[in-house]
Amino acid sequence: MNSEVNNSSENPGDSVQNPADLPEAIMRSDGRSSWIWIVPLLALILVGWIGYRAWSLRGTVITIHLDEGYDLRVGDDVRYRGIAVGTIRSVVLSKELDGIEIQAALHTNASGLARGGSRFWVVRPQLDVTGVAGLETIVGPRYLAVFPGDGPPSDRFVGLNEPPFVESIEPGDLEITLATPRRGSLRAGAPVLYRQMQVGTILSVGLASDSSSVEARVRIHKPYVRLIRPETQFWNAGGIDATFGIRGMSIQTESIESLLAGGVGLATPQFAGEVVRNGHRFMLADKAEEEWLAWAPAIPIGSSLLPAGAMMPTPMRAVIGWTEGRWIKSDRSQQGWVLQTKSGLLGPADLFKPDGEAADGGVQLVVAGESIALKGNHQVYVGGLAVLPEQVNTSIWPSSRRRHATAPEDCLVFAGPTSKPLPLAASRLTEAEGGWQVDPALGLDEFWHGAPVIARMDGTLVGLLLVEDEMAKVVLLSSEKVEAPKP
Amino acid sequence: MSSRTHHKSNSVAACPCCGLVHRIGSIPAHMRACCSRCNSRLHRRTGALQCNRRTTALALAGLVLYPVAIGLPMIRVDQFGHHNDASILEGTATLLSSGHVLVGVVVLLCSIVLPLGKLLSLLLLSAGGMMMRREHRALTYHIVEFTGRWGMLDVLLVAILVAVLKLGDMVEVSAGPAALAFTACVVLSLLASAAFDPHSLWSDVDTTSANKA
Repeated sequence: MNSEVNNSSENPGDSVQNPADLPEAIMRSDGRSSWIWIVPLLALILVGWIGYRAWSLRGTVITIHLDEGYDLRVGDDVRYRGIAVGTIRSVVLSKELDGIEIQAALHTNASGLARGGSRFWVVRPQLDVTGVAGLETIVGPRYLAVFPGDGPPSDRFVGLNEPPFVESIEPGDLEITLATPRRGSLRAGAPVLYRQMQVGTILSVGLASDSSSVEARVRIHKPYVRLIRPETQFWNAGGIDATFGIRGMSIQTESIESLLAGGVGLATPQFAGEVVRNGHRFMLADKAEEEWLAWAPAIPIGSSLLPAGAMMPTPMRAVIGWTEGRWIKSDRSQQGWVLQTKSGLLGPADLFKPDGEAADGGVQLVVAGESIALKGNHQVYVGGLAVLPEQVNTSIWPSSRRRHATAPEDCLVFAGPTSKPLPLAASRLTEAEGGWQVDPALGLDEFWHGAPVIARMDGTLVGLLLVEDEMAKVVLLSSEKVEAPKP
Repeated sequence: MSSRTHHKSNSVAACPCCGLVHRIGSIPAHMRACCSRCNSRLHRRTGALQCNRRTTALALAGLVLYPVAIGLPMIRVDQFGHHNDASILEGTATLLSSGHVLVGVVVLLCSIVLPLGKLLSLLLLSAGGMMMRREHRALTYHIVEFTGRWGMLDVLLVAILVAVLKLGDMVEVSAGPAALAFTACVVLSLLASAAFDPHSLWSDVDTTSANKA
């Protein structure tokens, strides 16, 4: 058999040599080669990983119908608030040839934008007298902008042909209608001005449904909604009001912007009624009357440090005075701020009770110029706050606008109406027993004693600032009562 | 006939590296025969099935990666902010449909058909070669030989593309997830064919022919 093998066709050239003369092969140990099966396993893991990544980046696919494509291409971005939140997958003509269908894949973390009421529009360069928009798309690619709605999740949308004039439509904006016999210089996108400050935008201008007048839909931005009352007057602020006289020519215009673009001015008198509801109709006058321009009502529209529309507290100065000592008499007094609440005056407990022994009948509390007899019926709460059941005639801080706070947060401290609110950053506050210790470096003095502390986050009252021996502390509102002081 | 673990004694084999012809005695289990001159492994084993396990595993790994390699984005081209992902499959389809038939066919052959053909025939030979008829074995092996020469063009293609299109900020080309899979696929198919021992294909034939004789 061996000779048969050797003589077989395998190595015909070797047959000349005697197999016995051939060198012997060396034997070496052969590692088990089953490890090689790790390689397909690794390949499977790699495929799984790549597949998972591709799957997780796939996002939510939505379809948008647009009338005009404006050179939008596959691979362009969907953007929201200036960053890419998705990609255009396909751009095709719709079946009925009446527009285009865009398929876009939103990134997984932006899938919340795919909901009813979301608006999509193509951002492209636009130049007009009121400004320039979409400048970055002159050289860069067009992109699809989105503004989220608040409806249920959806995957089919109809895009806007024109960018919405108010890109940041916030819930809480007010929409009203202005009616005027003639269009004048009204145009969509023009500003609505209060004291020449823009407080809103004209959304659209068109004929009324019965064609008897021209109607303008106006959106008033949320912080300024309180300016719009039933007695508010609107006038056409576009164009120039030129008068010729012996002193020459005087030209009046609301602002350069409204001169070019046309705009609407508004003024509100002192007692103008409640804030109007959505859809309220106003007449638009041709020009402002002298009287309107003189109106200067104080309408709180909130501070920019507080959430828009938040109410600002109006604390009152309270002074308690008493006489001390039996033989050697000395006058003592303590000052601070108190806030009118429904159940009474909220303030530091030491404003409602003399600190130490008072001579009989010598205690007197004056709040906002009014003397109040102290009967010792105030309720003291844990931490040093007290409520005196007295009503002094000013606005009442609603009980809905107070809450319990725990960890230090950014606050504003309000003293009287003449001083500016003092911001207190959370980093300046350290948690202490019953409140937050204020960083002594801020140097808060006795003037701030009893000043209300408003949370910046939601504009609610969280406590009062108590200053004792140069140490300021925010004492948080507490419902825990201290036993009524013994008379 | 010899047992599974012991090779036929006193057979001869030439060293694949230096060509020195050896007499190979019986090979115990987990041992291998090596050349006395250059220490290379002598390609003589008991059976093709056992010998080519390595090739089977590598080819299988390549085939697992193959769909990912051609289906997912291979390169990503950014031009003026427009970006475009292109997979081999899409790219070939685009080439063919836009009229570049010649280039399209070349890409289709070199990057889709030939690598797949090579991997499949390697797997076939290494795992089930013993069950095939001899002329089919030979034909399949010729296919492996032929396709192997043409299956590597893609990496070269991407390298050239990246070099050509890297024009600063205007056009930017970057590799996609499939590039990794494709490179792994090419490397695996190279290793698989390197590990493949064509001699083993005929190791069972020796005895049959001998018996016939």
